[in-house]
Amino acid sequence: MPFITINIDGREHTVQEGVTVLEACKSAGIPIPALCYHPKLRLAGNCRLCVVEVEGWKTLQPACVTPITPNMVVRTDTPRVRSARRTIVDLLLASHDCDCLVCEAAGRCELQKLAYEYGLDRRSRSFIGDEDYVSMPDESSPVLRYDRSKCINCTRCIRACGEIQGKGVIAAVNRSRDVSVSGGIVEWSDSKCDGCGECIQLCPTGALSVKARIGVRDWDVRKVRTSCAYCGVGCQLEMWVHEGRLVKVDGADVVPNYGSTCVKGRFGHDFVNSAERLKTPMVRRNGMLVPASWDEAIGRIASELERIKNSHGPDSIAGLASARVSNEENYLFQKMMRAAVGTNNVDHCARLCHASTVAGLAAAFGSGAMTNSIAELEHASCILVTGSNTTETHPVIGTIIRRAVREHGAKLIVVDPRRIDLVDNATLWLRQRNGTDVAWINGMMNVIITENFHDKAFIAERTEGFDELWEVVRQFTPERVEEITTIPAGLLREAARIYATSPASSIIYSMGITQHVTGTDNVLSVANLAMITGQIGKPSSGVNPLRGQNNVQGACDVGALPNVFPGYQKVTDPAVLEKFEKAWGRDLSSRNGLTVVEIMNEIEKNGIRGLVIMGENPMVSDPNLAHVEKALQNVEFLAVMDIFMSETAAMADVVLPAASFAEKEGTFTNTERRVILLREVLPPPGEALPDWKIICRLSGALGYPMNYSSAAEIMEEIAALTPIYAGIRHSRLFSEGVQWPCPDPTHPGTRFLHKDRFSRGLGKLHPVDFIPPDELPDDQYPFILSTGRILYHYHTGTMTRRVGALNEYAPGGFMEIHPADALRLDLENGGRARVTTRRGSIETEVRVTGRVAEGSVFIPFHFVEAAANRLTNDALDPVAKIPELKVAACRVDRIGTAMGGS
Amino acid sequence: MKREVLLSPDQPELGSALRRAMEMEPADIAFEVREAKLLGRGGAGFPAGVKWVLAGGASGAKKYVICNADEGEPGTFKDRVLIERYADRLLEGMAIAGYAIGSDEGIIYLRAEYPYLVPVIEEARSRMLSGGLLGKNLFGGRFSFDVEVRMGSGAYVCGEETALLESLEGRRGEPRNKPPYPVNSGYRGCPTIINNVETFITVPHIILNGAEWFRGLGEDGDAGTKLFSISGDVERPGVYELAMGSTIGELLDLAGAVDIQAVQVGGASGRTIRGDQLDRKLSFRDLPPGGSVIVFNGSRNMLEVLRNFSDFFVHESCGQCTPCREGNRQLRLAVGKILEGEFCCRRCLDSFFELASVMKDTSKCGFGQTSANCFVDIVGGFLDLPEDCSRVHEQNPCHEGR
Amino acid sequence: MAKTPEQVVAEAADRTGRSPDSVLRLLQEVNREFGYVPHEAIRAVSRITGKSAAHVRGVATFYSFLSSKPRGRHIVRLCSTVSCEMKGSSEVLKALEKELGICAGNTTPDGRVTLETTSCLGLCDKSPAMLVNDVPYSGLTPETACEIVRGLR
Ligand SMILES: Cc1cc2nc3c(=O)[nH]c(=O)nc-3n(C[C@H](O)[C@H](O)[C@H](O)COP(=O)(O)O)c2cc1C
Ligand code: SF4
Ligand code: FES
Repeated sequence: MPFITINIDGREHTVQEGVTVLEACKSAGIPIPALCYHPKLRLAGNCRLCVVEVEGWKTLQPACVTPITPNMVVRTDTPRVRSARRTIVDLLLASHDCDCLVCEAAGRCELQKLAYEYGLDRRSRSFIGDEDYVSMPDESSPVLRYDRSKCINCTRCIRACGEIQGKGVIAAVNRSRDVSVSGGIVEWSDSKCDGCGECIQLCPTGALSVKARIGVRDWDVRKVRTSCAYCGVGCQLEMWVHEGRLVKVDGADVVPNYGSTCVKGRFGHDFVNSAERLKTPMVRRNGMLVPASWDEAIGRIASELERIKNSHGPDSIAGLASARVSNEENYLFQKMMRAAVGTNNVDHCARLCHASTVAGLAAAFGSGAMTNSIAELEHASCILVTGSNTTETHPVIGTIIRRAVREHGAKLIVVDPRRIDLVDNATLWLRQRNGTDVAWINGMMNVIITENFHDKAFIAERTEGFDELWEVVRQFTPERVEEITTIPAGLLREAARIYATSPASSIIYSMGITQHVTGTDNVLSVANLAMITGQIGKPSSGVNPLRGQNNVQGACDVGALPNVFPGYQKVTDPAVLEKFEKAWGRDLSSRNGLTVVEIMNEIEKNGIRGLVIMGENPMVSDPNLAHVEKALQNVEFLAVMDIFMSETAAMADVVLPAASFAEKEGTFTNTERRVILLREVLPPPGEALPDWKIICRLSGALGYPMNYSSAAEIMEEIAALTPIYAGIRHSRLFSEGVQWPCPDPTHPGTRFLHKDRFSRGLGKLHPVDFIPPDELPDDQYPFILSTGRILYHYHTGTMTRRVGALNEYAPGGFMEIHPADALRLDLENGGRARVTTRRGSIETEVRVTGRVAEGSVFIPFHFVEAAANRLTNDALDPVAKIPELKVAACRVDRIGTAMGGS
Repeated sequence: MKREVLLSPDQPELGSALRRAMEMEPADIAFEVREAKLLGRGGAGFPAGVKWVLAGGASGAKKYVICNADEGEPGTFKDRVLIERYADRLLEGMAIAGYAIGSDEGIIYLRAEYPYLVPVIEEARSRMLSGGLLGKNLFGGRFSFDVEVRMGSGAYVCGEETALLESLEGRRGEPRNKPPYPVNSGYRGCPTIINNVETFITVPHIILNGAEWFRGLGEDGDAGTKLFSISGDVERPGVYELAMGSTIGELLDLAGAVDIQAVQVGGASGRTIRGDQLDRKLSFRDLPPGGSVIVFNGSRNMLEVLRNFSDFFVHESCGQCTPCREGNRQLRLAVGKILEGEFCCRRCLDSFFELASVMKDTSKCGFGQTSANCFVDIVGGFLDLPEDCSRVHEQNPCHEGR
Repeated sequence: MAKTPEQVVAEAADRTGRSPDSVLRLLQEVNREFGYVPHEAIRAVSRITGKSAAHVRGVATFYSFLSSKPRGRHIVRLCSTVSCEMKGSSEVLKALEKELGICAGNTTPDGRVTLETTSCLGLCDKSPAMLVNDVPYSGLTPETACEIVRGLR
């Protein structure tokens, strides 16, 4: 961009063409006060504080919205400018509830700063105190408070909601002096505000604030940056700590979230302070769990495991690692299972969400992770979202998708049986019948190849297996696909054309694709689609599975899987085995271990007798709970490490109190392969210890000592053994983290994968035929049941259900059912119903909504009292062993009176 | 000096100007209007021809011609009278503008207070349509033009051209930042000209008689004639057409006024002059003539008049920018304090005079830039306040606010 | 049967279109039909145009001819700006308030008439002036004004 010269305050400055006067001044180091201006937002030019003198103009000009022109002469510090600015601040103060003594915003309030700068206090104010503005704040939202008496009408919140979050919920209402910001028609709570708090983050005063009075202010607190404990986005947060308690959370303005968070990230970390946290080890004595010393608890686990191992062999013991604890801890856990216990029976709940991704993408590309970075999505020209309710499950990525559409004109194609929120922003919505994904993807490829939109050069140079693929795909004409999926052939054609012909198309998928008996097939199909169109291996274009929990990606990366060592190195590969045997100094098993569901099955058959679970709650998260419950009751010995007495911990023989994410050092790897840092924000409660310290103790007691002085030291060991992490060190992660693959300590990390070459060399196209789901509706079980997550809760609710505000948003379980079905079954919105499958039955609240298709019901799985997984099918994908959580046949019956009594 | 063109009993044949225009190059029409030095009749006085030339040269998939019939300035009713009598001429003027800038769509933004004018305009439109003066392929050529009436909903600020655009686009009538100007990015982001009713109605006369003729109509360097709505303490309130640059005295002679204390020219946001300044000129160089002239005789309490206008400004500000939203509120509070006798000297009011100049200097749109005028003129020119009242200040430091 | 706000909005949308540009026009239609903008109408406009309810409410509350409270069958708007005031509009107002038994800004208990004051109606050559629904009346005296209002059913 060319540069031009302008004169500011008597000196020449060369600045980039096209910037505003305010930006020019900023780059010249000249301060301009501003309240409505925010670098992330479009310009409003409302507050008028930024006014400057510009030669040739009769009136002062607002610097924020005035573009520079060649040879412009600007003065920023004349008496006229100063008087104007002072007057404006003074005006704002005259109608502002200056209760700084008790205001939450004191110390970071931008109006307060300006008042101080201009020396405007009550006595020196020129204007007439106007009491009309004082009114009661709107506190109807569960998380925030809007106080009009402190609102300066800068509209930053409104723009933040619309432009950053892409939601556009809040707006200005009334006119003139009555202008205020409103969330809903009557009050905040009658709106679609989902409590992300972006508006609070950008409010320059105390007008929008956290509803819970936190009681301490900016200067009282220590602020520590760390990573969010919830989903795989891995938002960077700024935690406010006061006297050993977490008091508030802000979004940190860095990659990947740049200040944004969802309602859980900002308001959902109260659980850390919960009185219900486990504080001492517990052992079962006479059927009761009672407090015990660490030595006793560890000793008990070691002796039980030794006993089982001695009489039944190491493979009679299994361990569940966790997608919620750090990389270092998962690494140590699998190392302990493999080296100290001597088995590969280690798995974790990634099995339940993305095992098929890992298997499918590894087969197609050579590595199973998001190919692109989160930030790249914003600039994709087409985004195809399927099987991902992104705005609820990965809210900040959902926000970026909305932004891509609203601010950058991306085309959005949603393929989902439910009318998810993103449909509002979509160019096209294709509603497929549950479990028919291979069919529609084959159908799209059929259209693309028939209409000659495939990327022949890419196919020829970068892939293999096209002819075999075509043999299958040719059979999937849009008309046939319509029969299988119910997606109108015309829509499918249109979607195929948009996807294939956009300059940069990105596919986003999640559990709607993976949690099927055909999960691996689905993933292979998605990979096929990207490869035949060449929509992969470039910025903003690729295949992007969104990993569910905060550290699913990392737990897999560091080997908490039964068939691979850290870095997806196969246990069956002799060279790999030798490398690890040498490094760990023990003989290791070369037999693939058991997966989560297989472990539960083996317990029943007495194949598994001892089980160690770190931070997981299979009693709510796993399919076919009745079966899991039986297994856990039957297992000879169960040890659980957790932060709360979860449903699973309550069944254990020994329970160990673990530190939460906020109480330890370590790393997570977010869904975009970014290794991000965890900081010790608080000390752990009571005697609780970080899991890595617990594992060290336990391993020692098992006769395999581990001596690490810090998580950083563990990471050095991981790096030495794991090529994709080879360059990762804690010391490199302070500012932005690093995205793997990172082969050496000077490598900057990798933004997107498969640039010139796939990890496996050529990309492999796999012909995939359509297979229907394991269980289909019939007369006895006429509905299709699918399960999933909602915004306000996370996983099994051990954390979120201890947060008041989140419970206020979503107090309990429910079932979504289509109005037509509700009518037939005589169900009322808010009433109760029983849902039954071949495996179990639950009672839950009815929500009548067109979000689901006729003949389908949807139930979130977070709520133990209406646990969806009592119903789900544990039929497995033959390759990845992922259960078919997304499709089951069920029956729905009305309970009690239609008035909603239970 | 009275000089009737728009209101003249002899009007040229309807359509003759449009026909003449369509024999010209579009760019030449815009140029002719520019040469005529026709300054916008809606108040701001921007040269209409310049706007048209710019819009004609701007690129856009579509262009719009918008007539500002929001006439909200207190005391103004000339546009109402023009529409009542000459709706067809207005449509003709808009069609000429459409031809000149390359637009096929006109919109009349009519204030909500004039619902009874809708049938009048619609009737004129059907007449024009059946006469081949609106509609498709006028005079067998390629130019098509039609006009739609859209209603306001009771917001004075929507007369400001960019607020008007916001309102047409279905939003709150909050003025936009400029640049971009409507000629480049106006209605729905397309090049748009917005002119006052009177401006459009003047155009056919210019097309038929030429720029030079039009310039010659004015006095003292201002071109053409201008309509004035006169009301208040006069014998014959109504609309008068005078040469631009005529004096207030000439106008008042026509309307008949005695014992003149004050004359407000240009509505509430215009200037208020004293009865001894009747030789001031109605021209953009002296007293910009929006269209409203209100006369106050010696019996009127000018402070009450000011209160009425202050209420108006507080009520009508869009409220988005600080100086206007808070400033008008403060001026209204100050007027209250003067009425209560609490502010009793000029010193008490220093900060309000400063406020008035800051409002003019920093407000986002013409509303805030002019709404302090009447405070300055009336408090400064009509009240007999002492410079200082130091005695009172010792006990009651009223200038310190709270 | 009287139309619901949803129906009015849906029918109007067939004429105005469903884009966000139509928000104001839809609200105008609702206001014309019901005399005010009920909450259900705000929701309906929000659904149809895809803008949030708060946004729609923001538009509705910006314009003084769009009311957020129910109003009477007839709306009387008396000009209270200077020119009319000088010609006695305050006397007319007092007379009307007495005649209707309500203060400006209110509706008669029988729901017949809403009385409001308004900024300049552009009828200052014939002050004082008022607008009764869509019909202008000017040159009012307290007596003529009351007579006009009495004629409203
Ligand atoms: C607060 C405000 C109100 C205005 N109201 C009107 C109006 O009612 N009618 C009008 O023609 N111009 C009005 N204007 C001027 C318009 O912004 C614009 O200048 C005018 O429509 C341009 O037309 P013209 O050049 O033909 O005068 C107003 C300006 C402001 C700042
Ligand atoms: S000057 Fe007044 S009317 Fe104009 S934008 Fe500012 S607040 Fe709105
Ligand atoms: S920062 Fe420029 S007007 Fe607010």
